Amino acid sequence: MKDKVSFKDKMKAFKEKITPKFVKDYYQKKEDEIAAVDLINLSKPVNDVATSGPKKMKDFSLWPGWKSALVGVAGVIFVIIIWWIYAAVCEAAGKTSFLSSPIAVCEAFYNQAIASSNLWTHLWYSLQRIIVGYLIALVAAIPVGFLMAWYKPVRAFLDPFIQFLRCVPPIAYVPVVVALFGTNESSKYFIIFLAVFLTMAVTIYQGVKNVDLTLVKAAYTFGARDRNLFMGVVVPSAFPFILTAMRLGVGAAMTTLVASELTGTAYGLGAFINSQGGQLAMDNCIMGILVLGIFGIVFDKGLLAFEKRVTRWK
Amino acid sequence: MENKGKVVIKIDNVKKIYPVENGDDVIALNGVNLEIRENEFICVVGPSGCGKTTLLNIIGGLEQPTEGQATIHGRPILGPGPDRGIIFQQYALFPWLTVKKNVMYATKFIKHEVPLMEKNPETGEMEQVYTTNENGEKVPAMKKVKYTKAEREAIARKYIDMVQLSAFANKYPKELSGGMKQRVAIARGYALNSEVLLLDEPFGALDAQTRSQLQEDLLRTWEKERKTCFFITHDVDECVLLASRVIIMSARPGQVKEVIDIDLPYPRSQATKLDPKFQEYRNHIWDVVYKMYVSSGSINNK
Repeated sequence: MKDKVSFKDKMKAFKEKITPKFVKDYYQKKEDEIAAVDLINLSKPVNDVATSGPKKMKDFSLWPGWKSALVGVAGVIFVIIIWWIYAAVCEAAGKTSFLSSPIAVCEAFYNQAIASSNLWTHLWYSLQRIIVGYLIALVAAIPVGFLMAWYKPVRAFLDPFIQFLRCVPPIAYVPVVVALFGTNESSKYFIIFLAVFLTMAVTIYQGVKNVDLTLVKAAYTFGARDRNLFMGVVVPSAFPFILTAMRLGVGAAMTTLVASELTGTAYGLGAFINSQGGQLAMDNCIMGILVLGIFGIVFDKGLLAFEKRVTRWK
Repeated sequence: MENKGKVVIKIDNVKKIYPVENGDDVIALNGVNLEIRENEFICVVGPSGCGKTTLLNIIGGLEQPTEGQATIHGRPILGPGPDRGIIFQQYALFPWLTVKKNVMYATKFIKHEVPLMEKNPETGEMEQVYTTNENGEKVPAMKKVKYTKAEREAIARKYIDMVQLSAFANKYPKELSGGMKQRVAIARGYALNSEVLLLDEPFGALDAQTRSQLQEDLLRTWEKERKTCFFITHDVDECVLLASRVIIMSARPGQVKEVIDIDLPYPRSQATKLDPKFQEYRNHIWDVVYKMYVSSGSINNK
């Protein structure tokens, strides 16, 4: 005990010694300023609430859903109009490869999706890759997330890898993945898997970490054993987080799809966007991007509806 | 008290020390001795930091004493168990279960005894099996089984009725007010049918009106079943109103300061607070607790 105190004193003296004079002066000056304030003769705050209360922010809490939807649609139309005008300006300047008009994009969609089945072939390849990579990631992330939260050594072991990989965009390790896996499907699965797995494992880990310990204690007092605790308390508690992880995972899968299809393939939505862009076929390129985005929204909304259904208790 | 029941829980010179890095260790409990008897309603009061909750956790088996020992019927308490139900201040309801399912959870793991039946090979009918006890007498053999789902539902319904929440049986906890949640927690605690019920400031987070209501509810049920209760509170009125015996604890280090038998007849109600004897008990306990606050520095600021 005494050793600790003397060490503390030493540290204090050392700190005192290394603090520059101007820092000490600064603190002294502040002290003096505070001491000089005369609280007794300080005038009272002016009461003018009646005349100039702070203006409240507009309250949108009672806004109906259809109004929000209307604003959303109006926003989309507004952006399309701007796009249209800019595309017309480009065309007038003779730069058709610069930006295609919305009409041209619709035509491209007709050509690729209705007149021929090109687009669906690409979409089917991409969908396969997303589903395989996503499902492997889901199956792996659930136990890893739980183990990381439950056993500190597991977390200590995996944490450096997860933190490292989170900082590297998937597109950066495309060459390495090609070198390791070749240009077959497994390289695409792997890139999507990695991105989805990282997102999901971290979210599930957070969820299990957040389990209310009082609930665990309560379950123990009712005679629950460790194995009952896992299925009866930990999994349901973390369930909303698993669903959130699944949604974030879809986002990660969609955003890494294009990167995964840079590993040498002629098929897939990402490959399509890339090759069309390379040929300056902007109408097809923009159409591909739109289809990819809409595809993602549909996926996400589906999962959101599922989430709302199964977590009514939240 | 004349007719003292048999001792259920015995706290024997229990000491609990929390080690603190770079500082003095916190002595939460310093040699506490206590006996909890059958059908007693014990209330523990004391200033914050007197180790009330630590003591409850030790009885509940959620914490282990540093020194000394807590026993139930002479067996040392090594962990939490269904013989000691706990009602927490934070309700601890499972948010993903409805009220009914929450109360049913209490009977999920416990077992009860039923007569052991066997098929008679001659008649083909089920018959009671007999065995001999330690005195050599022939007694019906029993076996331990879990409750069936129907039994668990019936138990849950009984206690949900008791706390007057039948209309809310299929609601989720988020749809209930704080007072209703605590009533569900009480129903769940009763459904466990433990020998001892430990209550850790169960009404601490509720408004005054709801609290009075729940105090009355608790009194009604206790007067009916006389289940041994160990109730922690910092509310002096509450402890006198409910308890058959009050334990005043002092802070830093946590010790039993005074034990007072509350000699007010049951049934009690909020009207009991007007009894001059109630006032006497209340003033006395206030005095002791307040003096401790001052001397412990909680008010005087060191």
